[in-house]
Amino acid sequence: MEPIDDSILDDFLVDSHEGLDRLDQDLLALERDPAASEAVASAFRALHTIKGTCSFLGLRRLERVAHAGESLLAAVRAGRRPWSREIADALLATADRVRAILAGIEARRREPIRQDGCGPEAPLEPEGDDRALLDELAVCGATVTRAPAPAADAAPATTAPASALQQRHVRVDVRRLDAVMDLVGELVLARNQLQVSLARSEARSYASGLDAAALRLDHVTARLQDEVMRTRMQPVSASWARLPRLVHDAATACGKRVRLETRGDGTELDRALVEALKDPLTHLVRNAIAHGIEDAAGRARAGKSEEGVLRLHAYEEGGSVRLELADDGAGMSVERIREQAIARGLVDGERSRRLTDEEWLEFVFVPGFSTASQVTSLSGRGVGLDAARASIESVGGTIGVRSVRSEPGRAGSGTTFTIRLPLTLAILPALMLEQSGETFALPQANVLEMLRCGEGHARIERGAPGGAGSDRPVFRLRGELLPVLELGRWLGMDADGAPILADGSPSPRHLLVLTSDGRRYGLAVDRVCDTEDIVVKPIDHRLREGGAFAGATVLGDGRVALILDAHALALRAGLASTGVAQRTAAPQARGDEAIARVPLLVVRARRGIRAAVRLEEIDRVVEFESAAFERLDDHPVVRLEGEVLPVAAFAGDPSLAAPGAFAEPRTWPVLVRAEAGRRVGLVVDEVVDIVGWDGAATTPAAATGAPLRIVLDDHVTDLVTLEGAAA
Amino acid sequence: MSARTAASPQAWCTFRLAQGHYGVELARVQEVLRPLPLTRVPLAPPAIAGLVNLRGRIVTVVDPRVVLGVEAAPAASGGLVVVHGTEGAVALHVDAIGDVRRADATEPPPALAGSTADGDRDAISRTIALPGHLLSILDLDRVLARAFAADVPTFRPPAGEPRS
Repeated sequence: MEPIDDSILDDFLVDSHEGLDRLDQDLLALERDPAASEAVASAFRALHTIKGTCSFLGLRRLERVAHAGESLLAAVRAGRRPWSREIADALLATADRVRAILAGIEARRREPIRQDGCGPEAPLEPEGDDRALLDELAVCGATVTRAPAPAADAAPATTAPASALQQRHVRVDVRRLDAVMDLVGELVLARNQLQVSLARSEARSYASGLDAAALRLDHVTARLQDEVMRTRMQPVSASWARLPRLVHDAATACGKRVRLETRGDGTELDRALVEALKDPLTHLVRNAIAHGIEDAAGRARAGKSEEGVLRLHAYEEGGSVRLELADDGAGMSVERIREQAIARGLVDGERSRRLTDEEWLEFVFVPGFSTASQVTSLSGRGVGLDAARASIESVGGTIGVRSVRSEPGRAGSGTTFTIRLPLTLAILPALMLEQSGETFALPQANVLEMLRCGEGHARIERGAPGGAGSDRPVFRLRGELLPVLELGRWLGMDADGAPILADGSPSPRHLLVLTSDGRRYGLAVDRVCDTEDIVVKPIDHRLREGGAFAGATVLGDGRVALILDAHALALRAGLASTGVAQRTAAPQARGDEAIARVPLLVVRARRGIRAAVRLEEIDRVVEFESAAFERLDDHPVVRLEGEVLPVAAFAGDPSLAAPGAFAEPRTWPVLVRAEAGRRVGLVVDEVVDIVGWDGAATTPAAATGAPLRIVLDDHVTDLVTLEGAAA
Repeated sequence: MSARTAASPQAWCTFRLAQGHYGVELARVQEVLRPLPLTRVPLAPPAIAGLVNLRGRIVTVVDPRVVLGVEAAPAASGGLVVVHGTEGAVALHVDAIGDVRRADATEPPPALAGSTADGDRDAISRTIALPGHLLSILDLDRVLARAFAADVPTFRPPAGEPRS
């Protein structure tokens, strides 16, 4: 066989794999609905295209296998053969064989040779012999050519839709797209500079034509930036194209029946991220089928239908993409995770009393935390969830888990993994900080919370208990001592060390709670400015090595800002070695010895009502000045990251809806919550604390509409759900 | 030095640092610019002046004074000479940009051994006598390597806090 041009072969391989994924899905669709003629036609096209190209490239073996499968599908399409389980299995086997042969071609740049007398004698290839498969297909009714297939025989003319589609697509080298993206970045900066100069220029009134042109340039640039970004994006479904087949095979192997439901297939992500999702998703789906979903008997006992359901849902939310993979299985046992964690010494006795269920579940991401024999929802094959977390985090994403344990008479059990990813790798949401007059960007993925330092707020202390005389600064976060890194001092920017402890210090300090490698620490900075989507630019690697920076970005005014690397900062501060010790050294801050279970956010609403909200119901808390509140259709709104956020009064308080409610100049904490893809805000007077609640209720509240009245820290507190409060 | 210096015709982009005249091989120069807003890089070696945005690309600015031992403070104005380093473009922050000097083929400039009094011998590849002053030609690769390698960071951990 003559060597085939590499680029043609590569294109063929890519096309064929896509076609096979489609074939899998079509076959599974047929399994559900044997009358789906669209699926038959689509499956036929997939095999036909592969066969046609094979014949063109002279790949005889592949052509013969594809031809046999195609002819079987042609018989089904013509109604000569009724759809059956045997046909489905034979065709799935055909897809697998084609994949195996393709893999061989990819590795050797030529077709693997078989041993049936057609090709020259060769050692047995791992792809094996095709005869059994061809026999199977023939039994089902396929036309199998025993000799090398005749070149491009009479093919039914059904390829028109496919080729029309191909004409609308062009293959482009990603590097070219990157170059275009860079140029657009420059264009954006040039536009920004033009706008700044125009705003300053005195000749402005004489050149109204210039203004109009600048406005148009602005508009076109923004659209161009968006379009170019979209060219690099792919629907997220590209990362789960193989999942239907995986679910089918894994469920069959486990003797279970599992249905995969997907929503939000069209949600788009940068192609690099789509790639990065594939392996973690495969892990999670396998785990869910093997251990999450119960067997038929178990499901019957729990009063569930025999068929388990895996729901995969993708949606865009506030500049990031969220993926939820939920099974309706038995859920994870917190008790057993706790036993295992304590047995392995991952947590000491005192801390173990303070952890919430949610925090216990986090242990499943600890490397080597495989407790399959004890914890039903975990894989026992060493398929680490830690690996899944590592690959998600390596692209700036996060992964979390929540689980509802199956109990008699309790519906909705199961485990849900939530993955959050940035839309693109090149552009990431960051918090802009100011320190000693310089601006820095900090990727938001690392930021857990933001606190204000000073009077009545978070306090930074020196001399950690047991810290052996060091004056290492720490602060107390809900009874836990966290080490603090003072950015200015560590960057050597105010070497004299501005007095961070002094009350009423002129510049308000902020404290950010960061996470790196599962360790939390505080970062004290002068000022937190805003969140911004930044374009990540590389810096000289000699400045990155051993430094504290991940790269740089260009600000709106054309200046450069460095991007802080939370991990490198933690290493520099020596936190990596002492973080765990610091965490366990936390003294009991409150008198309550109650076992903390559910984290509650305690707020003071208007009219002095003390209320608590489950922390999981809130996305985050943002502070707004009174002036930021505007009125729209007689309702208060604020703007958050370019979005208009309707603000509701807490606990149905009508006084905030009245005009002039925000006349007094002050800052208002607003609890931001995502509801059905839309964000809403709830304004409160003050955020008091976060408290763990052991689940004990005192009495149902009567008047305020709160379902429960509980005692937290010796105060009567209404526990409200936000769905009720936002109404 | 390398064969590159020996290649003809020779030309240098010249500039001033304090009172001294210096030059770099023209073939290594990408462009010459007025100063751009500079962002400091904390923890970087002292010869790293900072970063600038060069049409969307982040370019490191090196202060050759630190490497050459020129004591005088940098001029407020001055300029940037963007050169091709071994690891991409690097900008030299200079006090004033000078002319392009070409070696006259018929009348080669007399090359002097050694270097200027306050200069660093290794960093200067040759010195050329021009009417009225001397021109020191920088060994660019050495200057840049030294600028990035300087192991005297401005950063020192505050006393009492541990290092990793």
